[in-house]
Amino acid sequence: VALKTSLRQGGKREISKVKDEEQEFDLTPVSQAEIEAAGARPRKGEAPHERGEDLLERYIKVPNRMLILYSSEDDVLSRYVREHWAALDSLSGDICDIFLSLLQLTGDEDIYSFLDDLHYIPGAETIRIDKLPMILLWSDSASLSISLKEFADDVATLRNVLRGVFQCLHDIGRGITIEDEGRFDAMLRTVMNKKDARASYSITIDRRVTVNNTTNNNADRGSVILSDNSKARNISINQSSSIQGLDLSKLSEELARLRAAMKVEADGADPAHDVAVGHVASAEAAAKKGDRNGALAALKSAGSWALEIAQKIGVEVAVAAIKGVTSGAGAPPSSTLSI
Amino acid sequence: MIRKRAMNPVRQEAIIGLLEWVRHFRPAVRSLASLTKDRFMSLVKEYEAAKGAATAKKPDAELWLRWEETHVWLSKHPSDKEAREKYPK
Repeated sequence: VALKTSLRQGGKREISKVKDEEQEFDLTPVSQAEIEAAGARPRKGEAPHERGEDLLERYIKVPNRMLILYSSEDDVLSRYVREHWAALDSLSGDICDIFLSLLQLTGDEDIYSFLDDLHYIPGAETIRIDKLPMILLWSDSASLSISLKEFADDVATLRNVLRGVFQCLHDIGRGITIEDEGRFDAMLRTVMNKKDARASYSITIDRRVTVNNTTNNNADRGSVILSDNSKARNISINQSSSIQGLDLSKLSEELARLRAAMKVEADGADPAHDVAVGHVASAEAAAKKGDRNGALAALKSAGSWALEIAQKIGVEVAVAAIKGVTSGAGAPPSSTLSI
Repeated sequence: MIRKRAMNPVRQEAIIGLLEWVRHFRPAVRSLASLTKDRFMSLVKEYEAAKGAATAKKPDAELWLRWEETHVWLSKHPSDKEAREKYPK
């Protein structure tokens, strides 16, 4: 007997017991009826399951993706999305997809509950609770965040911003890049009737490391954060300098993830794996305390298996650190960190 | 004529994180619906481990059941009529 969770009308999650595997997986997919049950108004015959496309195939095919990040406190925006679903659907063909979850529509999931799931989304590091609601738009090479905070209760401006963003995307006709910054900035200033320059600006040199260049902390209105992920594709760095400039806070965060992944992958019969996990835990603790040398010394003993797992899960700062300390004594090596 | 279809609802936002992870770290995988349940769950377990999920080693964790449901959603497409019968307005 297995536990099964399912969505009922209104999106409420129910746990029930089922007896066989067939029943366990007997769940309703996202359909027009289910979208309607969640309170939205889709156009007839436009439910995702009627489009006949695999979600990942479409994700790869469409060059821009968008999340509208809001909580149940953002009543106007939440209602706007449900009531104007069909109009939002009309904003794009294959230039940008807006992803919304049924749980978000029904209020059972919101930005607070799925922040952890955004870990790998480019630009997620620019999400700030005090800037919500937000639009997060990303392509393979850049990400764009727009705070809707200033006009969260202004339906007309919300509509105009969404239209403006999609008009920009149609004009661009491809995935956004850092070069499109001016276009979005100009559009937002026009839509918001704002003469001053944007509130803040940031460049992402790694999809999860943001260098902020804040110019005006007081101006929340229509802040634009444009990040360039393309710069992260091939960054040539000197390893010794990368270790010298190590972000210990980031390293400690990544080592926590690495340690968890290693525990999952560990072969219970191999004590060397337990030892390696211990070294990573020591490095994590040292990094957390700001002890750079202690962290690197522990990582030096972590071994190739730790590096292998770190590369597998994509913790780039940890990978660079481990490579840096294990690539030979003395001469500072140089390498290319491909992210 | 280009069909307008910007809205792409998913059951849970977690699926977006998975899509981005698969696209970035497992580029050879081009379709989720075509994966067997075992292969899909193997990918999901790698993804959750990459995030540092504490439940990654518990085979009966609810987390995995939720992902298994997602696989059904990805691989089966019942008609709208069936959905209406199950979720009457």
